[in-house]
Amino acid sequence: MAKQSDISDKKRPRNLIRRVADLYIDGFRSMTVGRSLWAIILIKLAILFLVFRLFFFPDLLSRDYPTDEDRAAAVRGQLIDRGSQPDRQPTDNQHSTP
Amino acid sequence: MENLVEVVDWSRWQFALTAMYHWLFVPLTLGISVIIGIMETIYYRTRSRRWLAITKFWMTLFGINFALGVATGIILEFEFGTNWSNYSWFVGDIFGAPLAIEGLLAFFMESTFIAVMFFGWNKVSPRFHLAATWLTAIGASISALWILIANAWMQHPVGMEFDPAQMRNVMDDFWAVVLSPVAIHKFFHAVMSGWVLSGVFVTGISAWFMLRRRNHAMAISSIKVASAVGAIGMLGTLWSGDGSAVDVARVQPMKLAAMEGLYDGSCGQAISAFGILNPDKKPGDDKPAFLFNISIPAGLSILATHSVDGFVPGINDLIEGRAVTPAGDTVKTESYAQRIAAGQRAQNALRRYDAARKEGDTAAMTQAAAELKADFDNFGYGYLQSPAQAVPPVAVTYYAFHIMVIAGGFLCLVLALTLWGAFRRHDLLTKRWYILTAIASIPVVWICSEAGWVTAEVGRQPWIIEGLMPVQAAVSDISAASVQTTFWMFAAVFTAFLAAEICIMTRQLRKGAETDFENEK
Repeated sequence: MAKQSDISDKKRPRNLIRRVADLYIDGFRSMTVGRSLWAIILIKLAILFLVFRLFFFPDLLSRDYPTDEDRAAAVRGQLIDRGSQPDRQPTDNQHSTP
Repeated sequence: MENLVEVVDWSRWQFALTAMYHWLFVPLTLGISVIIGIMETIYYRTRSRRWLAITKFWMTLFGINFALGVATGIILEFEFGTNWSNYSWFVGDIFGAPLAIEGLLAFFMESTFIAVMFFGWNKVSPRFHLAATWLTAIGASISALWILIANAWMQHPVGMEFDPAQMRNVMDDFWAVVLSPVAIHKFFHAVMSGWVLSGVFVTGISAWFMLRRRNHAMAISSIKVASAVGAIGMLGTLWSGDGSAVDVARVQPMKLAAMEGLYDGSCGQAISAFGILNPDKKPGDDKPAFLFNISIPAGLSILATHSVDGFVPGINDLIEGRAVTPAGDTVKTESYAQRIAAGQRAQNALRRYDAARKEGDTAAMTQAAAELKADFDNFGYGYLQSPAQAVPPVAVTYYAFHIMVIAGGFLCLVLALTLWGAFRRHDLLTKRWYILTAIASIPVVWICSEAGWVTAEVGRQPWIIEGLMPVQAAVSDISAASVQTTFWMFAAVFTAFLAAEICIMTRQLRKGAETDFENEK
C-alpha cells in the first residue's frame, strides 16, 4: 500500500509537468489568429528591448554613476542647480504669464 | 542646461503619447475580461453551445487587444529612467514597491491564466477553465490597482518622509499610500470606466452584426451581458467620479479650478455645463473667463463640497490665498507667494545640507535637514518663478474635462436605452437608429476615456509630484534632440501596431462567430 502511494506521489508531479507542457505545445500548434498575434508580440518585444532599450533608453543614473551615493549626489546637484538662487528674494504676489 | 524647456516639453509629449496609446488597450482588457467571465459562467451553468461560441468569439477579441497592448506600459518605465531620472530617483521605493508587486502579479497571474483561457478548453476541466478566466479578469484589475496607487501618490503624496542623504522619499506608512482616498477613487474610476468602455464596445460590435444581419442570436445575448456590465460600470464610474471630485477639491484645488475655468470662486459656485473660454484671460486680470457659458447654479459647490453653500476657490483665490469659511467670513490662507518663499527656504536648506555634507559637518547637516523638513511640503514651489507658473493649462484641462462629462452623459443614455431594450423592449435593439447610435458610441467611449486621463494629468501640471517636484526639476540632463528622435520613432511604431490591431480585429469581426447555434435556445 505504502509502495503504491510512493509511486503515485512520484508520478503526479511528472504528469502535472507533462500536462502543463502539453497545454502549451498543443495550444501553440493549434493556434489560428494567435500565430499573427505572437508574431506581432515578438516583433514588438524585439523593437522595445533590442532597439529602444539598448540604444535609446538607458537608465541614465545607473549608467553614469556607479554607486547609490553618487546617484544621490548627482540628483541633489541637479535639484539644487535648477532651484532658486541662494540670494533670491521670495517673489511678490504679482501675476505673470507662465 | 540650456534647452531645459525644450527637453521638458518633448519629454511630456512623449510621455503623453505613450500613456495615451497604452490606455487604448487597458480599459478594454479590464472590462471585456469581466464580460467574458460572465459569458463563460452562463455557459458553465447551461452547457449551451451558443454561450460557448459567444464566449470564444469575445475571448478572441480580448486576445487580440491583449496581444497588441502587452508591454506598451513598459515603455513608460523606460522613459522614467531616461527622460525623468531625477523624478525616478526622488520617488524612491514609493514607486518601486507598487510597480514591483504589479510586475509580479501581472506576470504570474495573467500569463498563467491567459494560457489556460486560450489553450485549455479541452485540456482542463470546465470548472478550472472558468476559474482561470475569472482569475485573468481579477489579475488585470489587481495590476491596475498598483499602477493607480503609484499614480495617486503623485497626485497626493502621503506615507513617506524625505531623506536628504539618499535624496529619496522613503515610505514610512505603506497603508497610507495604499489606502489613500485618492488611490481608492482613482482605482474604481479607472476600472469601472473600463467596464463602461467594454460594455459599449461589445454592444457596438453586436449592433454592427445586427446591421449586417449576421449572428443575430449572438448579438442579442452579448448585448444583454454587455449592457448590464456597462450599466454597473457607469454607476461605479459616477460614484467614484463624485469621490474624485471631492478629493480634487481637497488636495488639488488648482486642478479643479482649471477644470472649470474658474478664476474667482464663491459660495454656492455654479458649474459650467459647457462654455467657450476666453483665450486672452490671464490670472489676475479683469477680462471675463468665458466668451460663452451655460452654467448650473450651485453645481460646483455641490460636486466639490457636497453642500449647496460650499466655497470653491478659483485660480485667483488660490494664488492670493483667499477662502470663505462656512460662516461666510473671508479668511487668508497660504498664498502661492508664501509657498514659493517656503520652497526657496527648503531649497536653501538642501543647499546648506549639501555644503555641510561635503565638509563632513554632521551637526550642520542635522540642522539643515530639520529646516528642510519644516518646509518640505512646499519644496517644489521653490522652482517656480511666479505664482502664475503653478496654474495648469486651463484650456486643455477645461475642454478635456467637459468632453469627458458630455461624452459620459451620452454613453449613460445609450447604456440605459440598451439595458431597457435588452431586457424589456427587444424590438428597440433592431431599430436602425439605435443600431447606428450603438456603433457610433464606440469611438465616443474611447474619446471619453482618453479625455479623462488628459484631465487628470494635464490638470496637475506643473507638478509631477504635487507640491514637491515640478516637471522642470524632474527631467533628466539630456538633449532635446534625443527625445525628439525617440518621440517620432514611437509615433511611427505605435501607428503601425495600432493599424495591425485594427486590421486583425476587423478580419476577425468579418469572420464572426460560429453560426450553427443560431437556432439553439
